Amino acid sequence: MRLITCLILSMSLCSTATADSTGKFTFLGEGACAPFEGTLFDVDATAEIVTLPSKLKKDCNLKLDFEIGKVRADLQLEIDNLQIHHESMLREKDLIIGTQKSQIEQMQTAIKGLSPNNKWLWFTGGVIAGVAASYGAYEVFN
Amino acid sequence: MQLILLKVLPFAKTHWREISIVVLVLVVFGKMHHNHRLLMQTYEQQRQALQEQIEGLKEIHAEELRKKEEALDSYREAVEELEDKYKEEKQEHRESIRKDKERIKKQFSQNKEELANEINNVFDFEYVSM
Repeated sequence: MRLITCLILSMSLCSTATADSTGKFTFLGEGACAPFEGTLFDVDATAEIVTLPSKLKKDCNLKLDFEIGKVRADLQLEIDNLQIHHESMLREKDLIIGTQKSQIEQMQTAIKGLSPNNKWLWFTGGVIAGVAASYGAYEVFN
Repeated sequence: MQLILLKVLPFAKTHWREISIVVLVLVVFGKMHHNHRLLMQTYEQQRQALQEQIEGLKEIHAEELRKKEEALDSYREAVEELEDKYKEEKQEHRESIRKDKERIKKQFSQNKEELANEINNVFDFEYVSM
């Protein structure tokens, strides 16, 4: 009689399971009759299975946070390096511009100090000096 | 003095052309020398300015390397902190899971209805009582 009841219950539950496709579980004592075909988990395995979703979720979140933190640190390092390089480039630019300005000023001062580039004056002066030198030499050696 | 003047003046009167040439040559030479000295001075200033620029660039480069090294150290520290935190949280999580398992085992022996509700909540499985 008990076996028949179990079988009827099992059949009705199986048909329900097929209808709404949700999982089923039960706790079976030693030698107890199961209402449907299924998997029997002991208490350790049950605890493992029940805690598995939260474990995986938490693991995933932890790993995600860790990886995001690492990527953030990598990018921060890259930004820091770029900023440092940018600052150095600005300082180099200022230094080079300063040096070139001072060089230009020195060149301008030097050019002002040099003889003016009056080519006709120099030509005339050269001709006069040449004639004078020739005449002088002539006078000296004569 | 008079003797010198008496000797020099006639000599100058006689050789004024030669003296003029010598003076002219000296002036031209002096001017050339002045120009050359000015150019050398400019060259020296330029050389010094470029030397200072090289020193400045070296200093900037060294400072850049130092700052980059500092940034790298700070990065290493940050990653190390992250790893430590990750390990610590993982350990805490393992402990929390272990406690949950203990609780579930306790529920299994003491309050099956509650455990059944929890399984139902987690997996949406239907509980079939015996």
